[in-house]
Amino acid sequence: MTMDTRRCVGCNACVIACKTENALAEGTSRDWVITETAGTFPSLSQEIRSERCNQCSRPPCVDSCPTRASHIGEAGVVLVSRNKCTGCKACIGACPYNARYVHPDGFVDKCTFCFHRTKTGALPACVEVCPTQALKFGDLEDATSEVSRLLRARRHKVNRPDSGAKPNVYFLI
Amino acid sequence: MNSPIWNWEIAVYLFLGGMSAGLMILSCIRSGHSSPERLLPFLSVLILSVGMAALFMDLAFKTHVYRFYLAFQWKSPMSWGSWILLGIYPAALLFGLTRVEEAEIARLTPAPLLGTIHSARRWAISQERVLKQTNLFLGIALGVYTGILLSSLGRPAWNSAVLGPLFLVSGFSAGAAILTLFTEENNLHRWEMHAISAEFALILLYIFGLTRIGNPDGSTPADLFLGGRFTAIFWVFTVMIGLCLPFVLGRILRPPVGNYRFLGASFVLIGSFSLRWIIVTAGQS
Repeated sequence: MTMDTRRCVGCNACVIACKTENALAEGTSRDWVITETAGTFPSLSQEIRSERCNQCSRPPCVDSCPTRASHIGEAGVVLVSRNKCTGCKACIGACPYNARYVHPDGFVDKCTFCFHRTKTGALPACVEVCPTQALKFGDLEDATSEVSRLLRARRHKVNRPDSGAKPNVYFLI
Repeated sequence: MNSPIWNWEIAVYLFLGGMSAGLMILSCIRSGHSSPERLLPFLSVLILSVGMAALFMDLAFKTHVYRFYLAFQWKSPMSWGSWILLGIYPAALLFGLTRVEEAEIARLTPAPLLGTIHSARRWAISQERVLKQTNLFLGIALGVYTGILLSSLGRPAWNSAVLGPLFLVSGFSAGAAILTLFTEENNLHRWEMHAISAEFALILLYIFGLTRIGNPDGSTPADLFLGGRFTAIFWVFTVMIGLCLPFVLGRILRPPVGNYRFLGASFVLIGSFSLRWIIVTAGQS
């Protein structure tokens, strides 16, 4: 996934779309919007980012899970098997992005890149609803995909590169 | 998204788990002939069970607790810990049986179980050396695990390999403090003094290690203990009350007797619990 920080206006449509699509419980969310201001007045800059689970290639949450509830599923998406989760929260502690939370029913929940949609060829709800098209979704291993093209054409970064988790959400800057 | 992951339950679990590890180690390295020391393996199991009850309370999906024992994840310290905890019960109980008399078993065991317990005792006595080594290994593994559980999660204030040995030594110290409440042997006092000294050195190493980790804003996790939010509580409860006071009492009175013995042990227990509580909380701040 790519997230264009120059297009994002922080409207929170992605957050609402996710809540609606996945019928999230009250008080929980799988994605969120960060507004970061840097510099000293009057030389200020602002960056708005829509953030979520980074679907890491080396996910520490999966390594820390004692029951294999957290696992790497199809297409590299990190998923949680609800029937195996004990709610021990080791994965929440291990996640460098604070992208997990305890669902009111006891299991740990997180963004799945709307796996139920993407496996049928549809886009994740957040990507589909984004009014400025700041979010793009596709196969990073396919050189012809839009996300691969954007990463070749634009400067980009990842959150917490020091974590060693190899995150797969790229922020275009 | 930044609410605490683990609260008091985990601090209590790590404290009691460490104390249980300390008692297991003590049960192996001491003769076990005196009355309270004979019961150390049973006491360690009892204390561990209370700690595990606290851990159970922390689980968000309690009915899935059995899932810990349907998988082994070698990269997950919590998985290692689950299996270590499971191994401790038979190992410690069998080792405990080697130190009780047949008459005592007959007095305390319900009649239908008596034959099984007697057979288990006879077998345990024949394997006493192996059981002692197993208990020593599991005790050390449990003590180290209580620290590694945190240090493996990569949070800045937990990001230290010293936490394993630090929690092991602190757990040993807590176990010795519990035993001190029931016995006045000078030999035990010597072990306590060594443990307190080692714990102090490990705390300094832990904080020194944290000064070498940089947060994005230029601060270091060591700042939490050196002027930050946990400074007063850490240096007062963990270092002053938990280490300095019992050490000074021990050096002056060699060893402390009467009320001073209880006072010294209480200080050690307060320090040992506060160490877990503060580090569990600091890692999530």
